[in-house]
Amino acid sequence: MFALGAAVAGDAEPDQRQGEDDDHGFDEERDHDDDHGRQGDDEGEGPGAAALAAAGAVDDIADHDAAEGGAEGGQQGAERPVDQEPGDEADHGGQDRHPPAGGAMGAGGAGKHPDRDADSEVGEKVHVRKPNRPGERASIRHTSSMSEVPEPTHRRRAHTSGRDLERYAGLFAERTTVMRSSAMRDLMAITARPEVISLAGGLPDTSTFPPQSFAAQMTRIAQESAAKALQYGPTEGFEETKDCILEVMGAEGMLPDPDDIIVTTGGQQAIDLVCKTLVDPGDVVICEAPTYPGAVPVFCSYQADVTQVECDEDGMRIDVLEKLLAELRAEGRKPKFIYSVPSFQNPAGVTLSLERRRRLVELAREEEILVVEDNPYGLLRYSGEPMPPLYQLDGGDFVIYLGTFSKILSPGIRLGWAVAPPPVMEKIVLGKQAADLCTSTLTQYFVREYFAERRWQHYVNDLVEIYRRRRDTMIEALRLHFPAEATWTEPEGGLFIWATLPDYIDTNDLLAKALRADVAFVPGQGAYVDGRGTHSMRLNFSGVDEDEIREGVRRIGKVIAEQVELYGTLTGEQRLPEPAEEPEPNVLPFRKAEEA
Amino acid sequence: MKVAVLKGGRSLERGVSLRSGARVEDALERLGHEVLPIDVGPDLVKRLVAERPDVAFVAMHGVGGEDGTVQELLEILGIPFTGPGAAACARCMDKVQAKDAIDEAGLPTPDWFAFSQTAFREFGAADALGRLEETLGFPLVVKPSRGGSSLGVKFARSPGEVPQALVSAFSYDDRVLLERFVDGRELAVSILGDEPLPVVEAILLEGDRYDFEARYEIGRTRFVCPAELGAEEERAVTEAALATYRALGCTGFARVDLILGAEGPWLLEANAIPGLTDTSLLPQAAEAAGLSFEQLVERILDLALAPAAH
Repeated sequence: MFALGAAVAGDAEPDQRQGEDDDHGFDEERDHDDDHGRQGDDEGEGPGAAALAAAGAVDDIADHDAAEGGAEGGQQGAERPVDQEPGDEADHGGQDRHPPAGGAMGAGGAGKHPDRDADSEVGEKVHVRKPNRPGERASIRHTSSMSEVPEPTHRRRAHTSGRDLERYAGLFAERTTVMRSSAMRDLMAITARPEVISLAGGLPDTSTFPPQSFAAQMTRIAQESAAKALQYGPTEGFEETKDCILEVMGAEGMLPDPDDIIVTTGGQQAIDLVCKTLVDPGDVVICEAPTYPGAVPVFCSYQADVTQVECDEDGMRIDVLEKLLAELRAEGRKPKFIYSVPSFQNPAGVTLSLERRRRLVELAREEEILVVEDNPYGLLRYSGEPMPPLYQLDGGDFVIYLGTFSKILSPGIRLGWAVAPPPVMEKIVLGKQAADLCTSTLTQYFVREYFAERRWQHYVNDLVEIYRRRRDTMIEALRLHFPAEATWTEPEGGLFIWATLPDYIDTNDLLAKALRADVAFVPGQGAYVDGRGTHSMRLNFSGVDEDEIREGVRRIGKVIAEQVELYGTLTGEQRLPEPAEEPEPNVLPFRKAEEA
Repeated sequence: MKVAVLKGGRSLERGVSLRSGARVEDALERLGHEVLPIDVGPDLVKRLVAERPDVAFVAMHGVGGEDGTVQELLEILGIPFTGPGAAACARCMDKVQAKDAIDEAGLPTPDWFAFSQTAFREFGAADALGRLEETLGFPLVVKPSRGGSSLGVKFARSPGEVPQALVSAFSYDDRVLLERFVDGRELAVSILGDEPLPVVEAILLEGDRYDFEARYEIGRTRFVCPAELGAEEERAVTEAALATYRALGCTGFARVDLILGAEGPWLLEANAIPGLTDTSLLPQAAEAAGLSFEQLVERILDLALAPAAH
């Protein structure tokens, strides 16, 4: 899901911002925008989003819950974003009748929701009704038949007053103080306008997936496996799903033991489960600088002490990492894990060199530190030689591997996975049980059907062709339209280019100007925990077509040029607003850091 | 009564506006009104003409909705609307105009200088920076003249930081002001009709004073309402706020922001359409005065329909 946003987007953003619901994009921000858009366009659907937005600090979570509640508990869930019950209730209610594979979960809810049976009853009955508000639940709860259920009189839940908010604020767990929504998300509400070219998303182009194929697979599931596909599944995921995962990992030279794999609700949940399993408040987690913006809120919600290690064109600086580890050792501290997106990193687009990969794996072994390898884009390579994943180099002793179907098939199916050594996996499975019992059975069936067609690699190849052209188009446009002082990465794969501007330009403010020119990007600050990144931006080239990429980059280039010129005027320095005539190829944004 | 709620629009504060609007719609429905929610766009006039609402509740913030543009249209269409009229909105929205009006009314406002981009680009205004920096001292505050919610507001702690702060501020508006920094307590006085509501004090728990984020998040800024003020302080603050409200020609409601320094209140600006979200100050102040959100909304409507309005 802008603060820009969240993530988006904006962010006079302090540090931790938008949680992204999804893998590897500012997808959450995008979703959030959509919420606003919907709210604006269709008043009938607004309340969920409005309430979410108003929920402020719990925004991201609420977003997530609303989505889940909506799916599991019907409309009611979407209406009650801060209230986690609908989904829960549905689960527990269902579970009482159908003990699922993982038996441990019932216990958690049993004492907590004495009224859950009544509630689950509501959940079942309420589906024909208009969404109702929590205030009205009491009356519904004791109603024995549909006919007595009063029609709700208002579309929205009763809004809280300032006093109420204070009361809630007093109830929030300490970790919520680092879970923040973002002003940038407010700004990104504007990107929902159709005239805005958004280079801010992290979105794969799902319009390239053939609808006939989708229809055929879902039909087959409905006809042949409806009852099973609509039932709970094992917490670890179906063996058949794992077979598909083995195929995908095999394409990059990995062959893990299926028992080491857990199917998760998107790659994002895999990050969450790893943290849940490994991180206590105050534990050190190391990641790249910049890092995947969606990982930041996860680390923060587990109250990790996050330290970032500079990247250059070859990915994370392992020499800097070694120094950091030595410093930590001197303090008697040891990181719980090192999080890395080694291939076509989000947001920087850089790829960890083979030499550094080897050294990182070696280091993990020497120091007995886990490396969490997040590899959503590995198969989306447009140039250069394939690079062995850390998991392959290490053999899976000290590397936890995270994968996803989001970028090679669809983010909408919410299917990802984690591969971990057996003792770690055991805990991850327990954590997953507590979180959501199991990953969607229906979408696992979909993946199974889809892979049975034996065309998944063709589809990935098609995507590679499309995205390669889009990447090339964006680089060409950057050379043409960005001023000489700007630098950017030229990724060999993935979805993103990271551009860095002169240090007097704050990309949060630039975004405001860019939005007036009907173009959006993600300011870089979201990729740092310490407020850095204000001179950088992330540009996505996968989600829009080539004409839009050209025009979008041209518009951003224009607003940058205006700021460059203005700064020159203000300081008396002569600066050329025009792009350099001979743009330097392969300009990389990390030089400064290295020199420093 | 048929009430059109105008919200959204294209301003940078669209998100906040949608939240304000949603909350108002909710209250209006509970009050038994017929609600016509409008996300303001090119079809605004057509919709207003077709639907003929009895009154328009303007829940828009920032350029377009808070600067008199929409108000002017409503005045032309003869639809009563909430909040200040077009001229007052335009004055409040533009900090330079507002400070001029406040200053002319003999009210204390921190020293300032205003510049347009043209002044820098075409008339070499940069050469005057040194002199005015001397006058204002450091740190100084750089603000876009028109813009809300602290967007683009930067501190400059030294001369070297001024150009960068100006580049940021100019991202939001073609005119910016450089203002002397005044230290003190950050207070907001909401005025409803002609009545000042209890004073709200914003106490930032962390970070810089001017921080867009903090204003809309639970837990980062602590709001105290009513603010703990001595009787004399409170009188001085509310009188200054009311005088500002009048000097700017506000009617209906507005929120006046000020700093209470050692020498007394310094008026900063007035918000013609203060936020109405869960974390906004006007609803908090109203609640401290014993008004529920519904009562607040009802009172705002009454003011819009009063014969003297607009």
